[in-house]
Amino acid sequence: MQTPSSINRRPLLVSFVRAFIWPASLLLGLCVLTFFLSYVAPGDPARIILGPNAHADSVAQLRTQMGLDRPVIVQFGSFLGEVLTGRWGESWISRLPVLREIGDHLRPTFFLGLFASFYSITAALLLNAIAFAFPRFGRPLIPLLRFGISLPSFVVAVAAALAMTRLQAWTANSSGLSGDSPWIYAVPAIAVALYPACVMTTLLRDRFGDLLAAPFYRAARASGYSPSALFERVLLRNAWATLFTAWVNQVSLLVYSTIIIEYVFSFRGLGALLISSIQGKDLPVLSGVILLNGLFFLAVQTVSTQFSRRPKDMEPPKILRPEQVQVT
Amino acid sequence: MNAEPGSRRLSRAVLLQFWVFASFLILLVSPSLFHRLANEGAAYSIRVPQALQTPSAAEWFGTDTLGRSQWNRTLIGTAISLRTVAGSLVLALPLSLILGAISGAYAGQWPDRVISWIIALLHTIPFFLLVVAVAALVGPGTGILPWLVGGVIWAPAARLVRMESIRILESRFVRANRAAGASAAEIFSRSLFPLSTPPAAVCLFYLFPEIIGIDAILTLFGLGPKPPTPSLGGLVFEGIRRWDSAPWLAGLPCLLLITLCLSIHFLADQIAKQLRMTS
Repeated sequence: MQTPSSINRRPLLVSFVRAFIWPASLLLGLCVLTFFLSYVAPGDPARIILGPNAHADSVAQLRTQMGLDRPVIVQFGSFLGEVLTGRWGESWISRLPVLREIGDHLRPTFFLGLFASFYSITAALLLNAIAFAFPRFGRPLIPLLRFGISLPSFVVAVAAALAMTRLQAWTANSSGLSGDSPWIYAVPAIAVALYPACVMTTLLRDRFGDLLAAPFYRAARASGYSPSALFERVLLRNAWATLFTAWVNQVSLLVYSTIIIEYVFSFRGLGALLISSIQGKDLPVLSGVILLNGLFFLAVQTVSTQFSRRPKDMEPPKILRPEQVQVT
Repeated sequence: MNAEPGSRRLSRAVLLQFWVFASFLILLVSPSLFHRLANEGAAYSIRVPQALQTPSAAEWFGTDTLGRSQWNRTLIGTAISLRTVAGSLVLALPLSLILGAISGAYAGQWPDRVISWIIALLHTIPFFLLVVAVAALVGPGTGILPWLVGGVIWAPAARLVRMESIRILESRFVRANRAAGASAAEIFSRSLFPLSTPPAAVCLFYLFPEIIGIDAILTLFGLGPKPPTPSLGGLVFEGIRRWDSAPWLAGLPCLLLITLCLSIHFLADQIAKQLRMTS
């Protein structure tokens, strides 16, 4: 008799490839969009590079040289090829390769994001652990967090950034950090992390609430397991999945909170690069930053869908609360 | 289901429709309301001798560096931001309802796959960067922002509507309707849309504070309304530069912004509460 699994088993390679078709198609869509943006951008790239006083002949020559008068499909094809091989063009302002510009500006953004993610995850775990151990503390915490979530994240980031400038000045003076050390980003990252921390704490609290009400938990308690042992075995193990999903949802928020913080603290990170490329109408750099961000989001979301397969019959909630709404 | 007497269920349903309607009305009317409340003369007239005054009974929010009334400037800036919000609501809500309904009705087949792919793509693209990039291309101050934001923000709501559609179309009362001979259009308009509008509206309303935030950040990039037109982001970021000497310049508009977002949140919470009680 054939067992169901032998009927439905596919070769591993086929399922592997199938898992990649979806993200690959999204990647293609992303490239199409980025190309479309630069294609319909007003202004002639050759003229922008050569300046308004250049001769018409040299502009036309540069256009042919850059391949701007080829048909759209061919241009897109070469764009795709360049993206895949890592030649992302040159900045119109500084003539440096786009990837080099991005690399130069990556450091502050990377460290801010790293510290902020660490703070928000730690805050979520810590606050929930305290709320679990001391329920009386947990009760006033939740309305406070919900209030924090309903504030626009932009305001929270700005207010926190202003508060952190004082703290940053104090810690920088007292610890004597040099300008290059990654620890100068430790304090500003608190401002980035404040709003996501509220969201993650609330989401984790909901998850803990579900787990605490589950029959198996009550059975375990009735059998004599102590709350602290159960915290470690049950709650913590299930926390990582929720935290990861919540972090994935908050990544885009982290991006633009980081831009605000970089502005307030004058860090030369990707936010500053974005601002300067927009104000200088530097299209290659702008496309490069968008593409890089898109790639990052795509990678994060692909990994997250691989890890959080939900059973089909598990119904998602009908009415989303604000922290559950995914900001795209 | 709850065994409520029919009259109470009816009044709850009425209350739900009321809150949905009222929220839409408030959001759509508020830009012009704010604009009407503002005194444009006071917002634009430069009176340097009265620069940087603290808030008082005459000038509720004080004056900025050029002596203009900060209160009126805040009102006008808020009206502009709310116009973006209202415009994107007008675009995003029907789009999410229709596309979500199509996607749910043909679940698993090609319309569903195409629409789900588009939604996934919109989630992949950093929404904020896309808005910034297109706004950079089109130029500052044009009316493209509501269209842009609406064209991207329908995705989370559409996912919700899709799940709701699948659930509703498989429910007993819709199947009974269909057996009694109702056409697809009748089922969509009588059953599907009224039931899926409140969750979609709640989802969009919860996203509106983010939209206002993005609207504000655009001024960082120089893509907001051109000066001297005030914008919320411009007010806040200008005020940040003078935080130590004149904290009211940034602080009071921020307070107004917070109140605004909390009110939108309150509206959404009311709808959600009615939904929870009728489900």
